[in-house]
Amino acid sequence: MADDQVTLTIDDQTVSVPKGTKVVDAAKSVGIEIPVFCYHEKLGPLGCCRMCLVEVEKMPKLMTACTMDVGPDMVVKTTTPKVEKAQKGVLEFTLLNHPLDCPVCDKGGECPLQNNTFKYGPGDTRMDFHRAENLKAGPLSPVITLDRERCIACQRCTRYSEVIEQDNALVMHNRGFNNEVGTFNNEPYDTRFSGNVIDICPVGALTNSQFRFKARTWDLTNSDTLCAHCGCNCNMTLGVRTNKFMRIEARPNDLVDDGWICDKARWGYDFLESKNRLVEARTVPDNGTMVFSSPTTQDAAVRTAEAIKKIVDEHGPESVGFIGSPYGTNEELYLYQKLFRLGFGTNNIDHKTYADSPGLPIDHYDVSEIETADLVLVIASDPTEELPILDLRIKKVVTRHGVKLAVLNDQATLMDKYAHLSLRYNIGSDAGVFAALTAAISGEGMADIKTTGIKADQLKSLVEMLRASKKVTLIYNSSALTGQSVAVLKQLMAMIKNIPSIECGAIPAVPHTNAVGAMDMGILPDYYPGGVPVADGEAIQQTWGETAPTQPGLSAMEMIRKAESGELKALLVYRANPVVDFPGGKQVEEALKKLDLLVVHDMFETETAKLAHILLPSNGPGVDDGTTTNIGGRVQFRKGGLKTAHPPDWKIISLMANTVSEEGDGINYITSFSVTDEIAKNVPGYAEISKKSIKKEGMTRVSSASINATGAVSKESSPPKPEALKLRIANYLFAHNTILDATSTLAHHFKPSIVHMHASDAKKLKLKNEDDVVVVSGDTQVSAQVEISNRCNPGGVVLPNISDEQGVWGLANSRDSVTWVEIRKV
Amino acid sequence: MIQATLSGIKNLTIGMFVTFKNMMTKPVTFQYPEVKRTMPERYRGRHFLNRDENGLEKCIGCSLCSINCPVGCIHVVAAENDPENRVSPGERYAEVYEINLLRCIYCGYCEEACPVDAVVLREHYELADYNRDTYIATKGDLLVYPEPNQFRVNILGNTERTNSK
Repeated sequence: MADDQVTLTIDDQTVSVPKGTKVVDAAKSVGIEIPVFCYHEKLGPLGCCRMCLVEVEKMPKLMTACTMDVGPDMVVKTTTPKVEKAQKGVLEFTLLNHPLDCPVCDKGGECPLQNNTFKYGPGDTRMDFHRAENLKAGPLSPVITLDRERCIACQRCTRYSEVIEQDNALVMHNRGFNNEVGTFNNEPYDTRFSGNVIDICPVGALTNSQFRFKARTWDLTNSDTLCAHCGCNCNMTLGVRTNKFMRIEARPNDLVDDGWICDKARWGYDFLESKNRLVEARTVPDNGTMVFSSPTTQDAAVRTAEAIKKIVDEHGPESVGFIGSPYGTNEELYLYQKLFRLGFGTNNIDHKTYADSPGLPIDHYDVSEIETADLVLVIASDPTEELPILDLRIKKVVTRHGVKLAVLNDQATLMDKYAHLSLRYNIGSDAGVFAALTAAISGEGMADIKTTGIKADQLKSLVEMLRASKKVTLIYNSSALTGQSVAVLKQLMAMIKNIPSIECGAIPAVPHTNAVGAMDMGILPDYYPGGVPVADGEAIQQTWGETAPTQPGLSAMEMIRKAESGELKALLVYRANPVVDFPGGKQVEEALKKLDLLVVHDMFETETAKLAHILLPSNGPGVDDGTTTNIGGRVQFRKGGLKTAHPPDWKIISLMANTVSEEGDGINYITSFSVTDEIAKNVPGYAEISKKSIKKEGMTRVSSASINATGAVSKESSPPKPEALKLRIANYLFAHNTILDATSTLAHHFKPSIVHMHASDAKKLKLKNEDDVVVVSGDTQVSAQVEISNRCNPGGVVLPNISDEQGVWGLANSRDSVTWVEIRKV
Repeated sequence: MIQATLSGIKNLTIGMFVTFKNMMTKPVTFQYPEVKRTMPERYRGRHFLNRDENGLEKCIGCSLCSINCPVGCIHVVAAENDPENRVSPGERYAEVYEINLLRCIYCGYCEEACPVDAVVLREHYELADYNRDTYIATKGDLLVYPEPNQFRVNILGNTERTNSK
């Protein structure tokens, strides 16, 4: 719109930018650089460093370009002698007490102060006195080193803590000459996003302790990659020197991460050089046919394919199965489902233990759509622990863009603090809430919601909030829902869509890296890639040929059960750890032991890998190339950085496929992009995805339409014992597992096992804070400490999954939707 | 005939004049390897790493030599100093410092770039050896200022180094 555009002149160039743009950004848009220290486009203006002084016609004095909005017909000059003199003066002052230890400083080579001094600064200093001496290389947190001598007090870090993180953990102490960055009472600054201050610090005051003195920045080979932890798929740069992992830095992509990464992304990559990594293929000799010692991965892959084929020939295709992982890339998962569907003729393919199906009745919103919405409804999701960068974005839109936030959850989360409306339903009654909400929106009147723990007026105000908004973004975590309630939720979405005044979209916020991709790639027993249901025989045979199986297969939990009963003979587990992560615990282990053939293709020596007959090493993120689809449906390229002679996963899988292929020649993919091209051809919604189209910012894939979901509200199960409580397993970002092992840089974030209870339940059970208890379900016990935090409604407990050792999933019931647990004092 | 003889002597004298003249002067050649040439002070021969007056290594491991090297023959891996047990005076020292003397073109840019005068090119020009591996000069080699190389002919008739590492 012309009204919102402002035209001005900067250094004789005419610039037209939106109203409210700062002069610094306007200049940048036409390639004119105005040096800055304190200004950062995400943090807003401050104007304390005075580096950006420019001359503006008709203004008597030099102005700071970073605090000044553009005005119509403004004439800005950035290279006049007056400006240059000012820049020299400002830099001389800035450098007055700066130690100039650039040769030892980790920022050297990528330091804005160094660059600006080189470009605009004086060649020499007139300072004859001793420079100020201050704290050198002290720990600000276990992972950040603070050097107060180098600090130029630009306040970028403290403003980051205030504006972006919004917890004011890092503040400026004192005034004037004694102005210094610090925390209250010198507590360590260990928030979830603390690492970003390293990237934004314009000097070497805040540096990465993990990277400290490991390499100079120019020695690094940087590869533009993606984070492989949560579903946000934040963009980052992996620095490698002499094929050794050095550091992670944020690589801003406003459509995905808004320029930030969380601490797990920055310091959670010690696993690349973990001791637990599988380095060579292994076979267990007692498994009859496969007696050979230390095979190569290729050998082992060929033997795997032959052995599974043999079992298929003997016992039929339904006797083999595949459990994939939402952590694999699209290419790997696509090839695996193709191998099992076409090579072995089975639909026993799955990657999850919760109910969900591909497709949404409404739009699949990209993450950036949150910014233009006027209501964000977070359902059962805990972005702070599960998808941290989404948490930052929600905080941003709620506090700065005036977006309303409603939270519908069974446990208290940090989002509640920002929510305009926060409803807490009883654990396990999610379907009831969604059904009641659907009824209320459709005008059928208020359903009975007594059992859900939500009051009628609360639900009413949520409905009013929904009706009053023009654009709604739903963020839901189907892995935290119980039973079939995700289907009820989809009915609710369809109902909201029917309201003509509301534009509505959803973000399925399952916390795993490629959970959306795994669904799209058809790692499901009843859907082919692109959300094509197995019942749609015609469409399947057109793409996948005559032999493609059209019978629904077994889900992951069913496969475990069939393995127990002996009906399932062979199972290939790809980068999953059912023994720890599947409900059932010991039961799962026993079931897997009964298999004739268990092949595990993984990066680590997991509990499941210990049971395997054949073990195939996987290179995984940081090494292998591939694409992943984030929670917003954006497909991006995850490049490897480290080199290895070991074949990438897609090669291992296509080798297996060629072994069982009847044509013999099979398909030879040249790079991972050859697989991407095949995905574009065969998977509906991915047609536009190619090496070129996803190069810069990635590209959103087209979401598949949802098949009319039918899910009824299941009846509440009654407690087995009167004192039993409903269990909710919560996620913790820094859980101690194979990824963050004991030697991890983030080990200081590990937490003890804590069970969160409601005060009324604790009173009933006569428990106090910090009492040692065991949480019991069946034969499984998990020890924990009581914290009376009212995190959930009475009648339930919240148990965060803090480590693999803790074994919370062993408590969960593999058959029921709600797990009842008892709390016993020890 | 006499005339021819006189002219011959004359010409011979003229011809031998330079020879006779130089018979009296000090020779420019010398008996290498018994006698060794004194190189000019700024000669760029083999590299050495200096120590400071307290015996600590001057090198702070900043890698500026490495990035300035036009042939990329210097490899530095830095590490943090233990304040109790210092290797260098600053916060950081070079844990690994290697120069590939075969690749080096002895341009002296590393010396130029060094902010602490740690790496220097000295007058050592006798770099011949029988083993390529010895040309990777490690920190241990670079920190000692060695005697010039000495050779002898052993009983098998082969030449060997008498002060080899």
